[in-house]
This record gives sequence, structure tokens and C-alpha cells, in this order.
Amino acid sequence: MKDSEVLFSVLRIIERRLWLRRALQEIACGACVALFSLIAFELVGVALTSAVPVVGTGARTAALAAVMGVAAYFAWRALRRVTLPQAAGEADARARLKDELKSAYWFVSTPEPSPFAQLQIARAAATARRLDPGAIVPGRPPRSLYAVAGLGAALLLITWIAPRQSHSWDGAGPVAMGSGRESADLRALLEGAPQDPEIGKLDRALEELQRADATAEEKSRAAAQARDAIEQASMEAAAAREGMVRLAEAMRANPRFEKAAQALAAGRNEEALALLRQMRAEAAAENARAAEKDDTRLPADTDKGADGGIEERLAEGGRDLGSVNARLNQEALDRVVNALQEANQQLEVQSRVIEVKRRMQDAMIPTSQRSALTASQFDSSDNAPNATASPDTGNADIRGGTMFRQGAVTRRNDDDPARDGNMAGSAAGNSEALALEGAATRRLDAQLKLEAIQRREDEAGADEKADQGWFYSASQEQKSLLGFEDVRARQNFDRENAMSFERVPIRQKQSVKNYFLNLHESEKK
Amino acid sequence: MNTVVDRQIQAFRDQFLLVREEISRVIVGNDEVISAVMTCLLARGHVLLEGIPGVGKTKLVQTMADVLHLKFSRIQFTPDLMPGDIIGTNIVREDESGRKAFEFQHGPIFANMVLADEINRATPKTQSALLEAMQENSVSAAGRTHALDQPFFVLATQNPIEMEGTYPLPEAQMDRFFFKLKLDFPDVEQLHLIVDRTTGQKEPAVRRVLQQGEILEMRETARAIPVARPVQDYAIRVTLATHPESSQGHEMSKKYVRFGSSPRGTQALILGAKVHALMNDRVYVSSEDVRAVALPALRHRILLNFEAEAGRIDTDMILARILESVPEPRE
Repeated sequence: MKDSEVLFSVLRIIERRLWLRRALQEIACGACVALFSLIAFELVGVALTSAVPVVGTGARTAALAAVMGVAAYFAWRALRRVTLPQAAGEADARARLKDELKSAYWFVSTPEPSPFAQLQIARAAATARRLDPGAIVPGRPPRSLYAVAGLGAALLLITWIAPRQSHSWDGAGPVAMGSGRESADLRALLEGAPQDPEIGKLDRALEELQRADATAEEKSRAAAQARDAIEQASMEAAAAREGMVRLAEAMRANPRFEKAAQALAAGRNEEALALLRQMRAEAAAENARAAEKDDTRLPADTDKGADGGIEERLAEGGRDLGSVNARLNQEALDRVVNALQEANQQLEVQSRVIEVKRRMQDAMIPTSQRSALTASQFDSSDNAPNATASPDTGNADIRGGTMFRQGAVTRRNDDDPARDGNMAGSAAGNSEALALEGAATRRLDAQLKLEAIQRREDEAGADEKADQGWFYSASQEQKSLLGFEDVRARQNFDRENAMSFERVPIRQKQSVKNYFLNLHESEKK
Repeated sequence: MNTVVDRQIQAFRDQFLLVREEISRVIVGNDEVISAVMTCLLARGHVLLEGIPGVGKTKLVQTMADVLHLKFSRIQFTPDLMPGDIIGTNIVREDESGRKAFEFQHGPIFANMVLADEINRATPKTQSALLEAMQENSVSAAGRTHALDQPFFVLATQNPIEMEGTYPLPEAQMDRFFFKLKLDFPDVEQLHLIVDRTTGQKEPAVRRVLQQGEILEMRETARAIPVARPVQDYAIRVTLATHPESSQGHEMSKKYVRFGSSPRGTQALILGAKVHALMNDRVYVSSEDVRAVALPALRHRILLNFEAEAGRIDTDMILARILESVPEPRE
């Protein structure tokens, strides 16, 4: 083999190894940049979600385009060929050959090399024979691949823990994230559900969420509609449950309906309904017999229509049936049975809706808190005197919520755990009641003080207590605490508000104002 | 053919080392300066030696003249030295028949090795008398051109610390020197050796080891060394980096340099690198060879501006930065 051929063959091997290594390195670099960008995007998204909706579809599309651009650039770099002169140069540099191969390659390409050039080619060929291409360009993967693995693991970790971060559920990001994938299953949950306006509204909202070409704003609007439907259904179910309790209480007064009342109070609605239907059939038969005997019929309650709410109709039916002396009134039973059926339907709707809500929460689709401002914009949750969840918002820490809840729980006289959720829990009506005085709960008598207003003399009654009008007012301590926190919260709100609209902090505005005021003062001097 | 070339290269190297070894018997240390002077001689260049008094500038040249079998002359430059004192002059001579004719009386420049001692003490007019001789290897006098015998090798010395009564060399003349070498003050060990060698009863003697013809052959061999285009490109990039107006100019050049190196600088880089490559048993020039000769080849070709003078920035600092920053050829 000629010297030049030996030289070329060795250089080609080095060239291939160099190309492979460079391609791997470029790919790894590209992957590093892409992964780093994604990690940064995730972190920035989590950090700024509460203030700026940066994780919307537009931002994601831009980030994806940027990542693809970077990937394309590095792919182009990776695909670039390594030339033989480059391979010679790299071999010289790595093996410290002082430009031997590079010069020899150049001399080979000259038309008529001088005797000195020929000698150099021969010497370079001998050197090339001794070279180990594996030592010059090692086959081990480049270090940047380890960096890629590390960044990939970090991204997985961040992606995994990201849902646990505190998000503003009004942001468009969480709505967009995975909503399209989840809503098909969510809609399947509604199949076979009773005909109900809220079910229809929820179904339409889920369909909108499922639509692939929906914008972030449309999805956000759909999520809000779904939220409304869920809350409405829950409210109606709560009302139905309330009505059923009142119906049971009323029926308990009449021994004929005691079994049905017990079944209803125990939550065995179907059993109660069956008993009432049976009694309605008996009443129908009795009416028929009476009609044959004296041709008289019990008067129909035509004035009692089905216009009221479910709770009202159940309570009214309970009153009709509750009287001990009342005869079996078929009309009243009809109304009660119909109302009870409707209440059952409401409960069925609610159970579907609750399932949908749970799945939506799993999919990070907002299901509560309609306020445009997050709790953090009013005040820090750490500063709240009591971090109990509010029934209004479900998961935000607002002092008003705490007060309402404690007031509601305290006001009740009886201890019926089945009803605590309705009165004190969230609008869904299925949450457990909190302990009246827990470790995190401030005693009500520490917050409120019982005060009395002396009535006028002409209004004074026999009862001693009736002489005074009692009401609860905030204690001195509570007033000072609330006053201080109100001022602070207002400052925080102003600051946040100024930052969100004008991007100029209050402090800076104040500085500018002071500057001009002082300027004016100094001019006067 | 390779064997012949191999032998040629080996002979070059042996003779080079022999000369250096012989000179080192008298000159203590300064091996690099000796090699650089030899490089100048073999690259057909001239050398400017700079150093404080007493470091052995003149001794080095004298020893070299002793080692090489060449005609040597020494010119002590003084302010009253005239160009005719260097080149020679026409004199009227009467022959036996009584006929009078002009005859050119050769000056001390007609030698193979010329020591221009303390060249900056003469006036620029006298200094310029060396110009044609150094560049063209010929001397013009009274309308006639006289070729100088080869090898023609000028070694000039100058004292950097005495400014009184000196005339700095014109830029054009500086550019004609192939290398500018600086002789540093010897260290303690070297001073011991100098004292030992020069204060005894017998001073070390040298023998003549190289003939004129052998020197010419070595010059031819050095010229025959091929240079690959990438390495040549590297030398050019180094030169261009000294130019403040060039797009490839180094930032130090842009800040401190008034004029960069001339093309003679690039020639000196390549020719010096060729000799350096042969000295290192290579038959091609590498970028390392270029770097090795860059300082002596370029330091006197760069004209600094006022800012550099004020900031005590010298050309060696600028060149060091340039050599650090200009990338080696990779393909």
C-alpha cells in the first residue's frame, strides 16, 4: 500500500469517529438546551402562574417552537460532514503530532511534491500506521450525555411534582393542560344521567373543553361554565337533602308515616319512596271506595302546584302528611312522591357531578373559586388568623369564610352529623364538618363578645332576658387585630393591584410624588 | 531519494549543533540567542542584537566569526562615521606608466560577516548606507554596483539604555533585520561560569568548524523545506493580527499599535520556521515552528503608538497575546 493510501485510510477512520462523536455531542447539547428550556418554562410557569398567565397555549406554542428551532439547529450541526483535512487537524492536535498529518495531507494533494514533501509523506504514513484511532477519538459517550440524563430526570421530577404546587385555578394553563384528554372520559360519566339542565350545561362545557381547536380563553370560559353547573347541581342537591330531612321530621309526627320517615332519615330514600307509593295506592283505593259509597271525593289541593323549589315542596308535603288526624290524601301523597322522586334525581345528578368534579380536579381543571384575585393578592394565607377552608371558595383561606363556618356550626342546636355538611361544609354538600374547637381554631368567644342593648321600657316583657336585645360583636382584641390586618391587606392589595395594572409599585409612585413635592418646596425656598 | 534527503537533513542538523556547541565554549548561556543568530545566517537574514553593555553581544559575534570560516569585519559606529567609511570610496591611483585612474577602495562592508557595533550611535545617513547592502546584497558607489560576497551577514548591536547621542534606527532599516534578539543579563550560575572562563590564565579557544560552501549548502537545504498551506495561513494570520486596521487585528494591536508588521515579517516567520523545523528533525514547517520564531521576527517590525509608550507596553507583550489568541490551523 502506498504511503498516501495508508495516510488516507487512517484519516478516514478518524473522520468517521469524529463525525459520530461530534453528532452525539451536538445532539446532547441540543437536548440539554431543550430540556433546560422546558425546566425553566415549568419553573417560571409555577412561579408566575398566580400573577401572569404565562403558561397559556400561546406561551406553550412559542416555547415549543423555540425548542424545535434549537433542535433543528443542533441537528444541522450534527449532520455536518467532517472533512479529511479536519480529521488530520484533529488527529494532530489530539496526538500532539505538530501538524504532521495535516502537512502530509496537504503535500499529497499538491501535483508534484518535492523530495522533502515526499519524505514527509512517508514519515506521516509511518506515524499514521502507529496511530490508534480509538485512542485519538475515544468511543466513550460524551460527557454532555450525562448532563442530558440529569436534566431529563430533573424535568421528570418537576413535571411530577408540578401539580402539587399552588396554582391559581383561574389561569388558562391548568385548563389547557390535559383538559382535552380528560374531557372525553368526563363526558362518558354523564351518559345515562337524569335529564337535568345542569347536566346539559356541564356536558356542553366539557365538550368545549374537549374541542382541540379551542383557544385558552374559550377553554377557560368552558371551565367556568362547568364550575357553575357543578355548583348549581350541588346547591340543588343540598336543598333536596334539606327538604328530605324536613319531610322526614314532619312525617315522624304522623304514626302512619313513621316507617317512611325513619327510612328517609336514615338515607334509605328508595325504601321511603316505595312505602309512600304503597300508601298512595291505598289512598287511591280508599278514595275509589268512598266515591262508590257516597260519591264524595276528598277535595283536591289545586292551589298547591309544583312551582316552588324542591326543598319547599318537600317541606310542604311533610306538613300535609304530618298531621296526626289527617286522612290519607292522595293528592298530597302524589306531590310528596313526585317531589321525592325529583329529590332522588337531584341526588343522582349530584353524585354524577361530584364524580365529574373529582376527575376534573385530578386533571387540574379548576372547579372552584371564581374570584379574579387569588387569596395571595388579598393577603398571605400564613397571616390568616384561621386557615379553615371557606364554603364560598372551597379551598381559599379567607377570614370571612372562617367566621361564617363557625357561626353556622355554633348556631345549630342538635348534633346531627348527617346535616353538618349541608350547613357548614362546602357547596357540594358532602364535606365533613370541622371540629368546633380544634387546635387551629380560635375560640368564638375570643373573637366575639356578647353585648346587649337595653330595650325601651314599653317593650319590656315578663321574661328577664327579653328585656335586652343580645347580639355578638367583635371583641376589643379582635377589633384591633382585624383593623391592623385590614390596613395591611389593603396595602398589599393596592401594591398588587398597581403592579398588575400599571406595573408601577406604590412605593415608587410615592417616591416620584415626594420628589416633585420636594422640588416644589425647594423652588419656593 | 528519501535517503539522500535524510542525509542532507542529518548533515544540516549536525553542522548546526556543532556550531552552537563550539560557540557555547566561549559564550555562557544564551543558547537560544546563538541558535537564533545561526537561524538568521542560514535564512539569509541579518540580526540586530540588543542588550545592556557587557552582556556579550560583540563577543558573540566575534566568536561566531571565529567558528565560521568566513571573512569578518567590524565597524564601530560613531556619530562622525560617514557612509564612505562603511561602503568604501573611489581613490585616484597612478599606475606604473603614470596613468591616473579611479579605483574603488572596498570598505569594511565587503566581508561575509559584518559586525555593526553600536549601530544607533551613527547618524541616520550613515546607517542608511547599510540599507542597500542588507537588502540587495550589493553596494553602489560612484555609479557602479559591487556585488557582495555570499554569505553576507550583518550583525548589528545596539544599547537600549543610552539615549544621549544616539540615533534610533529608521523604521525602514529596522525592517531589514531578519531577527531582533535581546540578550538578557546572565543569572548567578552563568555569571560564575563567565568569571571562571574569562579571569583565568587561558581563555577558551574555538576552532573553525564550518566552511563557506557548507553554509551556502545549509542555506539551500533550509529553503527547500516545504510549508503546507494551513501553516502558511497561520503565519499570515499572526502577521495580520499585528495590524490595527485589519479585520483580523488583535484588540491589543488596535489599542497600542500604530503600524503592524510588513510582509517581510511573514517571510521572516516562514524562513525562520523552516530552519527551526530542520533543527528539530522535521522536513515540514509546523505552527509550533512559527510560534518559536515569532517574537524575534516580529518584535522590531511593530511600531507602537503613544498610548503603548505611556502604558509601558512593549511589542513582546502584544505578540505574546497575539500568539495566545490566534488559533492553530485545524484543517
